[in-house]
Amino acid sequence: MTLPFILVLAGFFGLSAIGMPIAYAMFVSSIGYLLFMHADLALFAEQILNNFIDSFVLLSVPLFILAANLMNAGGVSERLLRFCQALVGRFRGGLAHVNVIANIIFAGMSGSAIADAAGVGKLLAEMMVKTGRYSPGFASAVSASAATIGPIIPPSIPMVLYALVSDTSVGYLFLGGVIPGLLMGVALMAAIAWIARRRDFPRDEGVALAQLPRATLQALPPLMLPVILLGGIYGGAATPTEAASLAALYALALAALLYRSLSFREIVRMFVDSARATSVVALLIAGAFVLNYIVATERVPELVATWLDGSQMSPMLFLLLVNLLFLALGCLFDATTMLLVLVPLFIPTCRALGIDLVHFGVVIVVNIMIGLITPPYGVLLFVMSGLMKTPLGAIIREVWTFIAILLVALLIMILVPETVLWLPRQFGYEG
Amino acid sequence: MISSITRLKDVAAWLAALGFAVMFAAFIVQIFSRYVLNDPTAWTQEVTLICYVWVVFWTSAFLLEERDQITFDMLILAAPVPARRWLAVICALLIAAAFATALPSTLDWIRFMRFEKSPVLGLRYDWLYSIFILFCAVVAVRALLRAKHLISVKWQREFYEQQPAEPAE
Repeated sequence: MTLPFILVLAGFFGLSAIGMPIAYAMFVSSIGYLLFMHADLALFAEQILNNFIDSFVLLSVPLFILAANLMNAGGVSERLLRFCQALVGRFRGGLAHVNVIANIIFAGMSGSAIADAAGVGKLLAEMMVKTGRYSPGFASAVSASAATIGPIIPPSIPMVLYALVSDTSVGYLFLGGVIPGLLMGVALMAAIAWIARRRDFPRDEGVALAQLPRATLQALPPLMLPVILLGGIYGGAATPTEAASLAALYALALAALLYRSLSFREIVRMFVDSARATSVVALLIAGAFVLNYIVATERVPELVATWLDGSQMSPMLFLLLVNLLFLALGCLFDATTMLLVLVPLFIPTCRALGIDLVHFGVVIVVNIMIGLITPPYGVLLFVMSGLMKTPLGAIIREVWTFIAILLVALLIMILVPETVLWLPRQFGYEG
Repeated sequence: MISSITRLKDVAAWLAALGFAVMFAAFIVQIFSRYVLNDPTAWTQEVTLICYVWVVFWTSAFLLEERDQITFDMLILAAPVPARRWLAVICALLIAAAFATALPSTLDWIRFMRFEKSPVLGLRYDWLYSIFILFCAVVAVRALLRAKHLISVKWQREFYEQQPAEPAE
């Protein structure tokens, strides 16, 4: 590691801290590094453009964003609601359980936690508050926590980004997320059941069980989407990127043709919104391409690997320590930045210690998603606070129980790699 | 002046939507040709990648505002407004300086790329990558304008308009 590299790091953190957008902090400090090293400044454009043109898998990101936007705007969430209510609405704290189930189903269509919170999460939180039985803080905390499942159950934008930086198969990563995602759902529902009993929540009026077949039928068109997506990928018919565009097409057909809930003008607006959301992520990716080029030139990941290897650490201890580190950093940093900049530093060490990269990837993505609800910097908390016009403090008070139970789920995934790897192995993964 | 800027932004938004729609459509054509017609096309992959790069840098140059970007604003929001103003000026000037410095070499490299052509459609890479030159130039100019605006007497408007959008504690 050279002095200019330390300056890059200081520059990146310093500029981010004084409010420069993170992507631009990466650009500016990288250009500064190239100037310092008297390197060719063309490396800036070269690293960004050549990497973009080579990263076909990145194309799934805009399509997953589009699909989620269409689902949210097209009234799909409302149609799923009755189905979820018939399923779990009768229990104590019924609507909170409905919230988790709706998020699990939505997770099978959308790959972004923020989209889930803004769509199905907002809808359910509003319904919960309207009954007068749940405080806005509790309702928002449930929605924020349940939204973390979104990128664990496939499809998943964070896992696509992880695949990009770790050179792992997107398909196996997606499969690896299924059981952990369900585990998180069960954990959250257990926490809700416990809270409901302790606070003596009344039973909600659910939809009668006899209505379940009818509600299922009505929810069938949106419920087919995860089937198309996963069937497409694992039946070997489509690549994850192609499956993403099929999902978007299906969502468009549902919203525009079947439900007639979107006009042409609104569809155009969807495309513009999706282009904007895509660009925000893509600029971070572009910054990470340059920054990671510098990190690789400085041989930082190898340094980390040598250093950790010399300390004779066991793989399990390494996994636990990395997870603690990421949890701490997750309180402060944004998910995409952590995935693109920090995760690559540990990939060579994982290889050296014989840690499975699919296991590591799923665990780290779960960890980073929990980071989205840990104060003080938890994007999902901000989103729910903004959407529900509820003070952040009220949500934070209620979210601790959910953070704790999700951490237990994470610990199980770390200690028992089979929770992640069993399903991919059934589909031929040799890890 | 204001209305013509709004109109230009509308045009920029329509073009971004068009690029996104073309990318999406090319994907659908690719799937249709591979799985329905059993005759995979190679050009669709190139079209989607080109549209992706153009949409990203076009949108970033013309449609994304400072507040759309992911920012680590925990510390900065705690600072008093005058301090935030001058830090924002520093950030804007640094962005302008960095992108302006990188522009000549970027231009050189992209001009050099004219010797390479895309494998299927045979499009010249200097044309495909030209959007990046526009992106760098627009980012530098917009950062300069932002710095000028923040230094001018009308700077308050931005900070005080932003206030209600922040999460209320």
